[in-house]
Amino acid sequence: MTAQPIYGLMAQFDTPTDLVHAAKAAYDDGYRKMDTYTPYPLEEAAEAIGVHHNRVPLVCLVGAMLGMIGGYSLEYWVSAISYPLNVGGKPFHSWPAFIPVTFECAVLGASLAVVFGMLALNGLPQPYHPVFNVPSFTGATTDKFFLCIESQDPRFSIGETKRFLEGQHPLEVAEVPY
Amino acid sequence: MSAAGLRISPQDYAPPPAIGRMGRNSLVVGVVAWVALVVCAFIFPHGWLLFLRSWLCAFLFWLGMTLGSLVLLMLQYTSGGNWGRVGRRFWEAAASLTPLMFLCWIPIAIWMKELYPWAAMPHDQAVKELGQKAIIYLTTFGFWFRGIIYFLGWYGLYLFLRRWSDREEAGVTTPAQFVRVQNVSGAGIVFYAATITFASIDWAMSLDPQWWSTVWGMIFMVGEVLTAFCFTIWLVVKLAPIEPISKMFKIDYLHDFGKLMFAFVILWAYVSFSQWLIIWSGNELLEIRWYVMRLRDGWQYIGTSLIFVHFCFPFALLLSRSLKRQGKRIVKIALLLLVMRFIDLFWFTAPSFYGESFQAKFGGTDVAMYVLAPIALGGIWLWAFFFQLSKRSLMPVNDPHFVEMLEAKHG
Repeated sequence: MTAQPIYGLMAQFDTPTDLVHAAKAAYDDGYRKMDTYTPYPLEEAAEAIGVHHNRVPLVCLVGAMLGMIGGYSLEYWVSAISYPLNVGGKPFHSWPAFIPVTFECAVLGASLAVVFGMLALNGLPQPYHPVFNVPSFTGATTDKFFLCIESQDPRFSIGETKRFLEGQHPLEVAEVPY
Repeated sequence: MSAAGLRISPQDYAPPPAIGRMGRNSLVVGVVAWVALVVCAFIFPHGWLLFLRSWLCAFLFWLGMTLGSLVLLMLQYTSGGNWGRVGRRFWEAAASLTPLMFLCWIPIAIWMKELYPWAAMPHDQAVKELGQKAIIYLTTFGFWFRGIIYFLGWYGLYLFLRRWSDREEAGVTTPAQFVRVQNVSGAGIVFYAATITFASIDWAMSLDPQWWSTVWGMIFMVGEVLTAFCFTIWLVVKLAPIEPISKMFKIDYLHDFGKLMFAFVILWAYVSFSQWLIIWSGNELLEIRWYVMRLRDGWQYIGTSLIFVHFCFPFALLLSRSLKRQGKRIVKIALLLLVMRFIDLFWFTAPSFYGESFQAKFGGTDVAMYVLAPIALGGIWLWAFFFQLSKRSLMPVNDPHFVEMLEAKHG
């Protein structure tokens, strides 16, 4: 361990292809605790670092189910229990007529669940993150691609990890202080 | 793999011999089905009538394949996206078969009296029963005239896009010309929406001339594009593992097609359900009759199977992300949906011929004809399709964005 603990080592790349190659190499080398930072969503980079399955789809399904059940129950309660009206001689519990509202409520439930579930699972809002301590990290919002290997990784050692990252044709490799 | 400075030529994506083989296999299947179909048409009682009825259904199905591809071709020019570049040559080859579909339409037009009650009625009776419709719209001349206009328009759109595509292949296009292609494609989609609405009324809805539904054209549009997506997925799963497509193929393209197929399964359910909900709510004698006829005497089993097998089952499976990325699995859903597309058209058209008794009138001979007709037409269609596909490169390598497709994926 160094005297001053650091968050990790971050390499900066010029193209998405370089980043994906470096991320794949890092994964093959045994690194697991790492993350990529790109100006736009780059699915191949997420796959390269062995991104885990997340629980957003499950949250979405639960939201949709709740919306569906809620929408249908509301219609049933209104039309068949609370205020039954004879519409064109149809039964009070006319399920075909309830489908549009049920569908819309399922969509509403799913979208609310997905937005807030995604934010919660991502740990957002997050007012502080150590990678912003590297001055050149501002490039992550315009045209630079970053791979940060975190010091929490069991495979991490400052000398060896630095040599590894420098072998991946980065523009620079920077230490990320806490 | 940096593609900068590396020149890719159309020859690098020349069609593999597998395409010729697939074409020959289709032809063999088609010819065998044709022989069986013709034999059946001669030996069965009312064979000729059965042939025309099943032929109409087969024609509507393969027309969907052709026009759905034309729409996707125009759509990808207006929307952009890598999925469109992957599918472009397939859709060009499919849309080029519009003249073949015109030939298939001719017997329907010649023998329209056998199929369409309004055409068989004496003029006075037609006017009495159908009113203005029989004077200004449902006439023999109108049927021919409109049909020819539709086919000319569709083929004209294809020819315009194909000429541009050939020039691009030769490397002599400019960005300004591409804007024109985009504009024509946008207008072309509007033209398609209008013409398919009229065509679906002429060729399918007028089987029951007193009945009408305003979402009818939309159901056909959605069905045709869904057919084209299912077909594309089948092709992509077949061709992606072989050179040359394997050189550039990424599983994300299959995922994209899977997502779009999924969206169209939902859209199909949405428009089909809308039609039913509106007619069921209105409960008017003239309108509800069409559904009553289709929900009894055996027809209800087919109608119910549409809800579960055309929508619920594929919907539940296609929610899965990983399934959309596995060729072997998604192709099974695509093929199932193609079968359901045909059954949907069958359920829309056939009850008008058979009236209210499915069990009594729809026998083994009818089943045989309705199975053979789409295979016979399809074998010839696929043979012509693979022949068209084998004549050019399989990827638009001179598209300005093609080089990017060889890079790591961008968003």
